[in-house]
Amino acid sequence: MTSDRRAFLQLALGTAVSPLLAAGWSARLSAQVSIPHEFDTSLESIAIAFRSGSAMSLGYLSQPKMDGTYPGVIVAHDESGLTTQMQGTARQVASSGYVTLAPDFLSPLGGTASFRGIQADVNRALSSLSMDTAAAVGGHAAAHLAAMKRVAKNRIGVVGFGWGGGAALACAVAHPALAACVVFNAAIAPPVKALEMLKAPLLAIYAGEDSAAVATVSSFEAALKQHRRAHVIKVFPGVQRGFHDPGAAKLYNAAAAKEAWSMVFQHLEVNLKGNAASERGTV
Amino acid sequence: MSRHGAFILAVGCWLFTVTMSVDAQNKKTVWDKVYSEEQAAKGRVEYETHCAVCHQNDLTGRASGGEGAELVGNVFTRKWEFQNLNQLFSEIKKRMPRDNPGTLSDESYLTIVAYMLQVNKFPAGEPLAMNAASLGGILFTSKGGAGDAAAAPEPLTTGTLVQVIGCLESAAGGWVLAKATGPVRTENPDPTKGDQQAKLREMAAGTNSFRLLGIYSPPESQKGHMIEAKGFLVKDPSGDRLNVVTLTTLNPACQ
Repeated sequence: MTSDRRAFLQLALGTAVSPLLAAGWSARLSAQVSIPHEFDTSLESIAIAFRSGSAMSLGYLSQPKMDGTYPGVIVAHDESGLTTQMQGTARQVASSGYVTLAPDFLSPLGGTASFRGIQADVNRALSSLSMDTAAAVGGHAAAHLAAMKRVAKNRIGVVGFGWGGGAALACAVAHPALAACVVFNAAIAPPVKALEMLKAPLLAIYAGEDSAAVATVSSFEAALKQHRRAHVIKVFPGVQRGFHDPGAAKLYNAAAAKEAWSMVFQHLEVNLKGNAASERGTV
Repeated sequence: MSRHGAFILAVGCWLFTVTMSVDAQNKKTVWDKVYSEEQAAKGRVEYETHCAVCHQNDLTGRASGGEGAELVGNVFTRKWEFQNLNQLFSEIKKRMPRDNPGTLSDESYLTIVAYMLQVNKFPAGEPLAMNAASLGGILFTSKGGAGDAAAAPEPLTTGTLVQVIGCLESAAGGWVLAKATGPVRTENPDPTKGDQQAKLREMAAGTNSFRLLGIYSPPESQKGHMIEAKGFLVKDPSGDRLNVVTLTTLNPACQ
């Protein structure tokens, strides 16, 4: 008998198959925001360890059980680390027809769980992690996805939240074969030169009340325009950071979240499932 | 690809006469950051496509039930001691894939060499050049040279993927692996299988205890079992912990 963090799936066989999955991936574009249960029988979601340079990294892998080849998406966690909420987000993306891998960027310190839920310590540890290191870990996660038989190697993208938004952008800059990049609520102040290397079409989403992040938008957008990088930036007025997350009860804004996630899935559809992806190189 | 179509590095078939010339002492070694991480990442993809079926995903080969030779650890590094990377590259190209040798591109063989260096924990740096003279100028050597057997093992630190065998017990606020063996470094996160698993069942109980982290669903059905746990070690003065990747029952009973 083998178990892992998710491997009690067999105990949850009574759970209904996701109706969204059954109805086809594209239906997700107009759906309400919902997080698949960790025992959603349409998905296989497990903890994994993947090679990351000379060490191993902890990650959370979620993928549709339905046969087929899928694009891959790296999910870069926010400043709270690889929490159960972020794992839910990984499943949410997977349920729309992607193989998702959410690396735990705190693996060298034993992983997010080793911090005993002390948020300040997690924040401190992540703030000491360089974006170069984060980009390297993201690259190894992409390589892990690319090596999976059911992942389309030239259709891998990256989505990041808060701290992970910066990591996602750094990853896309460092690994030009990545075909799509989505950044949520990230205060981006990149060296202008770095954006020269960005190949992936970018979608950046901001909560209007997240003043620290929104303050960076104009300079970020100017740099993107200067380098003629394909991008869409959307600021949702009147909502707080976390508005997109149904698990963030006081911050969640259903209408804005629905629109934001529709934009995300459309961005991923076009760039990872559409013809644009087939013209790219392999990760 | 069939099992017979995969890479088998027959390094075990050769008898090397290890001599270290004066010239060799002046060469670069694999410790001089001679490959790039990008090369190794590409090599990993090539390796997993063409080699892993016989040499295993973690390069442990026959040591974990595969058909191919071990390509990681002391067994591998000692076989190649004081050979140069051109010899390693040429041997792989000459012999692999076993049923169709030499059919990959030079670049693919080169990246596989880079990946083998990475897995064997040689430091990354500048990319390997596809040039026989350049490759021939890089010696393969374990850190302490041929007499490395006496070298101290690298200490286990927080964040190391390890294997622990013990008894699964519930404890206040969580789960514990009690009467556990000491942690052993591993690069294979998957459960041990076959004969190797049978050997684990015969292991004597240890004296360690690890609090288990990252268990979201209580493993009630495995309570009291003899367990193989793999996860990330968290060194802690108040008791080491394990951020779990897999828990596998070895025996429904535990002494």
